[in-house]
Amino acid sequence: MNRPTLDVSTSPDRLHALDAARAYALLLGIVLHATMSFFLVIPAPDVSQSTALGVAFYAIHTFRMSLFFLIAGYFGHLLFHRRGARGFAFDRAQRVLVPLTAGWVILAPPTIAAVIWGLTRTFPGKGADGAPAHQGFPLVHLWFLYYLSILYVLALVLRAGFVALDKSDKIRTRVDRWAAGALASYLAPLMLAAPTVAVLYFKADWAVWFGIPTPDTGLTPQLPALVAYGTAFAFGWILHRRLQHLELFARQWPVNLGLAVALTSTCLAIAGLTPTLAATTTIPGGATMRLAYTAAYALSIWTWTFGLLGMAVRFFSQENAVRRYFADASYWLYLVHPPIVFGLQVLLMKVPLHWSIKFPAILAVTMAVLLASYHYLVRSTALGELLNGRRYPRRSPKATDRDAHPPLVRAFRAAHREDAGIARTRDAEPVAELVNVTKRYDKTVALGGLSLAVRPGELLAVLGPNGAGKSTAIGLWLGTLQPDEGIAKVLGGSPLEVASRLGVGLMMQEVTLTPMLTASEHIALTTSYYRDPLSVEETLALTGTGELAKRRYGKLSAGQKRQVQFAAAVCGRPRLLFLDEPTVGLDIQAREAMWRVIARRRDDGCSIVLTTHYLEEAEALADRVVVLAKGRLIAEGSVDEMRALVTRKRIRCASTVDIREMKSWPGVVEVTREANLVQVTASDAETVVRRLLAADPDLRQLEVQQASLAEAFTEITQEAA
Amino acid sequence: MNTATLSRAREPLPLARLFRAYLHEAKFETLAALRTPGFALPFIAVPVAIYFLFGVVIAGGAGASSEFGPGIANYLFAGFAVLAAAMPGIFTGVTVATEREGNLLKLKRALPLPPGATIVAKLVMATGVAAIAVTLVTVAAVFADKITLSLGQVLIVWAVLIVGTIPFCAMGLLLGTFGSASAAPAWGNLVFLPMMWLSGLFIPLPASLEKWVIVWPTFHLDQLALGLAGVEQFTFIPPAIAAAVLTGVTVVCGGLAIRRLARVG
Repeated sequence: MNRPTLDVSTSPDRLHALDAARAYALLLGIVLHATMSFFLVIPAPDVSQSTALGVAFYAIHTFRMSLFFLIAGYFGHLLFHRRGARGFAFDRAQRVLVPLTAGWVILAPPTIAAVIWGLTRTFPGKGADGAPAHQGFPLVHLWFLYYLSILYVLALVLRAGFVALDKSDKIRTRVDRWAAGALASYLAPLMLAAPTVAVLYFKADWAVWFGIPTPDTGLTPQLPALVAYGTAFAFGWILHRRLQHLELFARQWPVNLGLAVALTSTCLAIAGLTPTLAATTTIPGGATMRLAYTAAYALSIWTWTFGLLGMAVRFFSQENAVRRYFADASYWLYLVHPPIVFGLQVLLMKVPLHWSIKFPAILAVTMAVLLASYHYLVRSTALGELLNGRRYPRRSPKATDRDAHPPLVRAFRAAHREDAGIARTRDAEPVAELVNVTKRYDKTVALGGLSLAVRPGELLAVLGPNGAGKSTAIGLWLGTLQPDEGIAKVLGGSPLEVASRLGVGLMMQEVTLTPMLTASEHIALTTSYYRDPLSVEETLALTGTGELAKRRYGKLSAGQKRQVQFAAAVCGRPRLLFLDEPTVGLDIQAREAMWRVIARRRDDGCSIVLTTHYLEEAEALADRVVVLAKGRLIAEGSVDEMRALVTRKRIRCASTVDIREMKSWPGVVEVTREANLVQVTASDAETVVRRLLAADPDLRQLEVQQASLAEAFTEITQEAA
Repeated sequence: MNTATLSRAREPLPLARLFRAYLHEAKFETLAALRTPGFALPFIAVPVAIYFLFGVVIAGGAGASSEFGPGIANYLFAGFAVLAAAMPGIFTGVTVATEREGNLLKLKRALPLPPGATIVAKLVMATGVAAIAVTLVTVAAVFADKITLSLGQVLIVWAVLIVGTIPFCAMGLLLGTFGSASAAPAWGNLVFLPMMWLSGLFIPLPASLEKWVIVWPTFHLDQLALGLAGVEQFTFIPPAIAAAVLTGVTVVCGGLAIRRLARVG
């Protein structure tokens, strides 16, 4: 499938046009249903009847569903080639099957209730029993999702068969050429109309005025709808294979629309301007006229469809905020409109006003309610994500304000630039990365623009005080949290993809495994997730948990539970291991045993991210250490580089030396003065002391202190605060 | 690590392994449930016990006095069997709430287990427990010899009800995403008890409540089972409608539960 014509990314304009056309086809459906009370009995015969609205209904009903199904086929093919069969099925299940089934339980009752209400007002005294009973399963207006689902399944099955038969692509090339020729010669509507003509002509009980019978009264697929909409869907599917076809529509639209109007006028001339309920199945003039009517009707379906599609491509190809909004909203609007439209029609049926006031009023109220519900309940919520595949933010996110870093951190970062970690690992692709991620909880910023990379085969210790953002960073890598901004990557992909997580093992800080399962059952369960895991016995031996194997997890001590969790973390032979405070609650022996296993895993090439409160743990194991505070990376380096912090010393003395001058001395990191007491932080204490004594012979109370690692961390994290 | 090894590592699990992962998840879920006396025992023992007490011993002779005649025994059998099917489903929520509170669901989200495996496992577990419970009620009904259904009809009711656990499991999953583990049983009962009594499956309802039975999924499951088994005397709505309602409940509750579990689990 490497045809250049399939690459739609080069022509997003046409997609805007088709999106807009699909939206208008759906919105026209709302208009269509709003006309019904002004010339039909269902949902309610209005006191003001209108032939004009009847004609509008007739015209819209001719093409709107065919136009919709054609575009559905077009986007179906696009989606199939973007996401593959599994992705296609999953996406369609979510955006078509779920709205169909969930929508039915929610929308069918009020829709049917509105119709029954209309009938009881129309035939008072008879009650609902006097109404014509709905035959078969009431799919209501959701039938289009049902047929769409059927067509998707058919498309997948037929395509698989086709690809198997047509290995050399010969037939498909011919079909494409045939489609191009038919379109260029204006013959396509004739060919596409043929199947529909055949089905409708021979359908004895065809209600001629109502075109393709709406298949909303049963689950058995009905032939006319399946053939007519199936043709549209299939043609859309083929159309997407050759994008230049759309240009043809754009050129031909005036001719097609002209023909469409002429054909629909002809049809109305034959069938009459108002639906004759008495003899809906007969055409005056016998079989010849019936054939003429059927052919004109089916042809008009296609000329309308092509004409409107061409207009959309011609005029709506530019992206436009209003059209985009309606394109996103239209699915929701169409799904929920019937109870509102029908309810209003029944409500207003006896109000003595002219239809030219009532009809626009019904539409206006309906659209206002629908748009408000879309804007506040759907657009930025899970519903919108379900229906349209995306969720719009309620308001644009504020730009992150980045505080200047405090001086010590700045000095430190001069040597270890924040993004140096990423820059240095570019040659060896990092196994896990956070790129400029920001994560907020309500108004608290947990991580502010953090970039961090884990290199292959290294053990990275992430340190920091409580609330520094360590667990948030790990959560982003694990996919249990999502960044507000920036990207989290694990093993070359999003942590939300199972494929990325196949190489990940983890031990969470606080977790309760199922208490009724034994340790070895927990390990067996976890190994089943991985491609090439250790066996249960190997895992038990590796982690020294053999004696816990047959004991129920719920009966173990806190330390033993940690050991079982650790065993589960390593049993999948992960390439990347996250250990969040792994040795909390362990006695010294168990902790050292776990350290040995961790070191061995690292030596085997596993990359490990370790968070810990025990600095000696980081010192014993880590190749590299990063320190977080307040959601920022404030220090980063190898253990040796970190030890350099420890060699920094603090000098205190009573002296009159100008501290501004001292700041320029080599080896001086920081100087402060309180009264006559000077406090110097020095990376080379001996030289500084010598120079101090030389500069101030009266110097007294000299004191030199070694800073501990813990102190150094405390200091830099405090300064970051 | 070069790109080639990375991309090989990213290939999905072969189908057989994937299936095995689902199977393991389901197996251990069921095993854990059966080992938890507080979960499995009441759901297996209670329905058959109360069916025997109320449906056979107390109401066994109702056939003579009831307006429905001896057929009422069939209705009672189906009603109590619905109870057996719905209970393990609804109370799956307790397991979910406990696992959510213990961060177990979060851990599973971070592990490479196939998407949906936790949910499928819970469905299998609940269906398994329901299968035992429904079977016990069915056996009790057959041995008590009050029902007038043919063996084929009994088997249809039995099979429909076991599959019918699924919508209740979806409701349970959704319940489990709210509230704490200690509150979960209370929530379960708050939904379960009104639903059982108000759907009119064992006791006659006042006329004012009778038309509202259609809001309860238990009523629809009962109708689906009786309708498909061809028990016309007690088929009040078409089975297709009942099936659509149950499918809808499954999709709505299951969908919301999956969404919430992705965030709070």
